[in-house]
Amino acid sequence: MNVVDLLEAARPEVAPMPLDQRRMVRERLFGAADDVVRTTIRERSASGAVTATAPRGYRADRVRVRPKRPRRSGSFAKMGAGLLVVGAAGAAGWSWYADSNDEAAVSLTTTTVEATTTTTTTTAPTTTLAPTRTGVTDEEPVLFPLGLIPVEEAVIDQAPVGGEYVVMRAGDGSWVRLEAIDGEEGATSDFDFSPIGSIEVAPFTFAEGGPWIYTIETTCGAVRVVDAPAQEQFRPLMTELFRGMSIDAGGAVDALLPASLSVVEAAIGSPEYRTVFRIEGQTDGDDDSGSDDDRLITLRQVPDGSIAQLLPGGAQPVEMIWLGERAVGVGDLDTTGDEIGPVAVYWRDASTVFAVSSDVVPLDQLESFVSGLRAATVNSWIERFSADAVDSSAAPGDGADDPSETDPDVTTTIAPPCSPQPSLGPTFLP
Amino acid sequence: MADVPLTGLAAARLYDDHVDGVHAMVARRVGAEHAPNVTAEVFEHALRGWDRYEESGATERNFLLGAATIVLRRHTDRERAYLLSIPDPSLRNTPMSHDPLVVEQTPYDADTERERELGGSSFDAAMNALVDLDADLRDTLLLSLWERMSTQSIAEALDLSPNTVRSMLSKARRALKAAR
Repeated sequence: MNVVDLLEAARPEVAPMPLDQRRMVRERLFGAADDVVRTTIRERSASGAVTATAPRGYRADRVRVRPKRPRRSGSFAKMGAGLLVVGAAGAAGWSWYADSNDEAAVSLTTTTVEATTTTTTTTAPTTTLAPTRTGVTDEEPVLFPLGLIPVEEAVIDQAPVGGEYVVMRAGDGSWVRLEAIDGEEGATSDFDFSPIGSIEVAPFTFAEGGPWIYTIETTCGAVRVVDAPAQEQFRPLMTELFRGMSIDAGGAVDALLPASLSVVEAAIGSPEYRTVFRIEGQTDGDDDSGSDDDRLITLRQVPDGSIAQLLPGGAQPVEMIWLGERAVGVGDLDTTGDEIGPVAVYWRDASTVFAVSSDVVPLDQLESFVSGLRAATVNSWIERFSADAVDSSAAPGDGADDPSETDPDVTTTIAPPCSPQPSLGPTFLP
Repeated sequence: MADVPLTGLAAARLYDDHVDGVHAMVARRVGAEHAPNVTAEVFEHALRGWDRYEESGATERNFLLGAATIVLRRHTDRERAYLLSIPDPSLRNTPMSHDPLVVEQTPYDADTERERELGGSSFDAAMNALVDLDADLRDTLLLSLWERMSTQSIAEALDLSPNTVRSMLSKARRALKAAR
């Protein structure tokens, strides 16, 4: 055998990239809450590399538990005071989302309710009531279907290590997202940073007209600000924001916010309960507008969560009515047209925030689907979807050998040994 | 339809479409342990230089594997260590049988046996020759042998002419044979 043949024969066979690593890398690249899950799941399902094990007509899937992350000492209850700086524009925009039509206000996180109440209404926080559109409560904070619906994937997705998020709204109505995620040292060493005020910032965008993503230089991990799409690089608002930013020795990123920029909501990442359902197609004979394979609905639920965690960077949500109450949506919110495009709706009931999305299912059908779900406890959700947790027929490479797949007590940390890790200061996350 | 961050979704689609291929190439070069971080570096590098993709005429896969080649240059020590740790494929399937009825599952190779007696296998020599190869030649050769890319694809990935790629592959083969 000649040397070239030897080398060719030595080609290492590698297993598919484990899903947790795949997601971790995606989070590093696009941010933790980038709403591309549906694309990913479809791809992975098609390859058979992940799950896609549910036969039609059955609920059947495994619950995959990602490594737990250490919670920071901050809590939502501490967020109140800092949010009093919420400006009029942002508060007004958010209050439309936050307030219900009647006298009962939507219960956002405690602090956001306080902020909204302080700046726009006289409703006392203690009197706020959650809407009952889905029936979730603090005791039953998640939804699952009454009947048997094929499930592509059910995942308890721990938030990225050290993930902290803020959504802000500018006076021009645009939304800006800031996130801080723990990571290794030198994760951004490849960037060309430029000094602005006391920090260093590197802008990049995926394509012309896309949102500018500003990476702020940190010792470890990543801090990113994602502007609205179709804005110029370093538009005055962004430059003013960066000039007012600082990073202290402990890695805390804080800012003196521009007058026209308001914090809408902020959060420390919380576990997300994500389910991808496959619904029956409504094709009529030769109607090939969408195959069954494409009719996936992703439902993301974060008890005690925040829209700031779920809303992807660059998204510019608009206010809408959803199940009779106020919500925000992104994408194809027009139900009158023939074309169906990707759509996502974000809302809060009780203390749970939700995002439902689909590439091909129109808004009215999504609404109908969600209205058919019922509230359940977290344990019920886990039991419901972990019925096949032990799957001895799992193919190699689909995570069957990963102890975190079946052992919810696995606490393998993915926190890198680097210090200081970035965090958000009290202006963003009191 | 309004306000959809199409560019973000487009980038994420690119990631979802090609992450397995990029990860596989990276894992073959630096091992599974380092593959996730290096894969992330590859996409960061590629996305920041996406304007070059628009001009290159390369396929997305070829462009990304070219980016991976560039990024792997930052990890030459890891790559060298990993390549030298790859086990001899002729030994991979050696039966560890406890069944007395199972015999001779691995064909006897007189050359291999003789080389082992001399203290070094032809495989070890080949891997040493590979890691000692000029980096440009090694990258080109491994894109051909391990990623199974055509000359044209390698040319697209490395932004070279097909003739240059052919020449480099030829040089690489000659260098390997001379080193053995």
